Amino acid sequence: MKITKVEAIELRLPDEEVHAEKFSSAQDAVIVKIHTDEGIVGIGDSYSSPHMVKAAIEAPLSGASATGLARLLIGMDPLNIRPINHMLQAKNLRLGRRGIICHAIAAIDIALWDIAGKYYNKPIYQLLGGAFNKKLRAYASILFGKDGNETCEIGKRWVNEGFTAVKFGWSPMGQSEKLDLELVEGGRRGVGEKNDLIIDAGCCWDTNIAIKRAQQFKDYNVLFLEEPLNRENIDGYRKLTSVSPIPIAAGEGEAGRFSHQHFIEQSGINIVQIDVENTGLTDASRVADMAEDHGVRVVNHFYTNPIGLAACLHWLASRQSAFILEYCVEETPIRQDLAKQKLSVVDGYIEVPEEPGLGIDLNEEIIERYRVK
Amino acid sequence: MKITKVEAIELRLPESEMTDYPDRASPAGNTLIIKIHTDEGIVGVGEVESNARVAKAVIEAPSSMVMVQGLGQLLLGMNPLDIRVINDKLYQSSFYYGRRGVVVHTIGGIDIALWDIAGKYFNQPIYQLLGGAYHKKVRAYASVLFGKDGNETGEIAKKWISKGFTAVKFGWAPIGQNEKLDLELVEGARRGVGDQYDVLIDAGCCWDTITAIHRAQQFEDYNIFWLEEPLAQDNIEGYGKLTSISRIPIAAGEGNCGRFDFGDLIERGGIHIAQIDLARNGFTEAMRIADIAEDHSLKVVNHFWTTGINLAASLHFLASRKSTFICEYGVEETPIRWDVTKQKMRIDAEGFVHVPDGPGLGIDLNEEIIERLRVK
Repeated sequence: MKITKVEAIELRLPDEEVHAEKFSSAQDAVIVKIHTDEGIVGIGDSYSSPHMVKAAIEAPLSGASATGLARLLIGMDPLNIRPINHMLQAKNLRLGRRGIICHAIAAIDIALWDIAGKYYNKPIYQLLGGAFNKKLRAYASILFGKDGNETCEIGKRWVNEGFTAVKFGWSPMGQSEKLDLELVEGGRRGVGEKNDLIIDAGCCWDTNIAIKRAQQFKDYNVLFLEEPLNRENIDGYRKLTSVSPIPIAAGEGEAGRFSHQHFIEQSGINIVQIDVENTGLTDASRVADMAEDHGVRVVNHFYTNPIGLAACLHWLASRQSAFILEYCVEETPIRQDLAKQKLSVVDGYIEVPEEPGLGIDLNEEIIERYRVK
Repeated sequence: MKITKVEAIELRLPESEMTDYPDRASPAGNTLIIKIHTDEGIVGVGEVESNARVAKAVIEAPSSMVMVQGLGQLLLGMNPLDIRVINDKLYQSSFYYGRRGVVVHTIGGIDIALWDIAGKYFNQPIYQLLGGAYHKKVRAYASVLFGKDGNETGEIAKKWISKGFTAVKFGWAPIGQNEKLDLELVEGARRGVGDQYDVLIDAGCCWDTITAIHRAQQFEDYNIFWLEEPLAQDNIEGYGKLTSISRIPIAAGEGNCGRFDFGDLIERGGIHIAQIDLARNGFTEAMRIADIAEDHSLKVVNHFWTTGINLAASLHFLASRKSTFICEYGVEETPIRWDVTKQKMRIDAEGFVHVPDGPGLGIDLNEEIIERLRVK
């Protein structure tokens, strides 16, 4: 089997609907399609800047250490997933082995696994070694309200939809102690006593405040505290994780396995959040191997669209330490309508797809409507 | 698909041929073959290089309690494609008496059989299911034991070069007895191999740290390709000291079982080359070890002295690793080494061995030999 064509399709909501200040990655997307001479098409997506990932894929040859990725893939056997991953990095050393180049390779890697699944007529989780859990508990992942009361209303809404856990994230957390505590109190009031509350601080505090908040939030029985610190503040993470009564989670900012592995070793985090759309399924599994061997649990990071959700599901199903799944509930047409399959949460749980590959079919109308020409 | 039966078949040479094995550092007299049967008629084959009788007991033991269970009965009814899930289950169910040593070896042999089933099910060679091949053929070194002195070692060397190998490794006794003999053995090896080809030395864990450091310096004169197992397998601190000084690459790993064991040797021991025996680790664990090794900039190689099952498994593994540069090729003249599989996988005219291309391991068992050598 050979790869015959690679497409990188940029989708974007109309300008008036895209908000610069919104920490949402559901406003645009880059869909990667890899075509083969056997008629199998694999799809992937990246958690990044779609425009930049598209450029990384479509760029021409620059030299021995920099090239667009599509031209390398033509003619290759897509089942050679590991050598292809290696080659795409090795021929782009000039791009620095981190960041955008990893994001672009991740999208391609997901598409390769989709092809393999369709070729072998098995869901991806089977090719990853089997499912430890075919049904995963999901938490509704959403942004904070502007204050405690609005946050409470948001919490109630998602509990009514059947979720047994809700995560609130990002601003306005971090502005003041008073508001920080009010937001968490509102979140707890909204989800009630029985369900779980997860807080994503969006990198807003310095080390000492984070240590204080970890103690304060213990009163609200927070399930885990995500990204309390700046991503470069490894010393801070080490100090925080050695005293925090709440598990500390991070990882969405790391892309590729070296980035993750160094962070896990040095930071002491209790939970690593791996986004398969910036790290790829192949590297995500390698990172999870290392994490679990170091007593660190894995969860997904996911805030995009059904391609990403399907990829997360297969990957998380194959991990022994997985205990919950991030399920973004941000409402945009790109998130909601991109795939024909709905991949819904029922009674707080979501099932991994059983169809070959990722197990989803794209809604080509949506792609046409939002594609950047 | 479900697993329906698990067989653990011990092969042993006739007692008359086993007489010098107790003093001989070779596992080619006794081994354990594993066959896993499925309800789809696919049979997977594996091998365990360990103490065959004990490994067989690990498979055939009944359950004692939740963390003390025989491995064979745990497999029945499971989907053999659930390779990772099964590995975890076997590890967890043997937690109390396992985690290292013969239990890890046995899980490894079972794991080889699971990958063989997967390859036959998907009609792909195992290297493809491991992510694809970087290499379709690998340079082989003839792996032999030292002669009694330099001259005999030289003769052994000439023999294997004349058979087409471009590298020869000499191992174990009598190296380590005294400095004079050590140097004579290595000089004899180099003389016999000639200047064009490579000499590998396997010291069989014979020296203390200071002596090993000294020998690593002395052997530089002979342009040794790698120096294997110079120290006791538990002497991790010694490995750490040696590897920071030695200009000859240090190789080790045949004594390590599983990734937790290897991790220490790699990180604290600082070895340059990780030697992974597929019949002591299985594919799943070997790939994880190799991932860690290569991410620490080590190269990986196989360890192999037993049957064609191990050789085929080694080749699929090596094919799938970027850092592969050579393959251990045991040349012991026993039916266990050569006749258990119908395929001989001999070296080609350039001294390379080719990775099997058929589904799964790509080998067929010679059932007559197995019947003849099996311990009843």
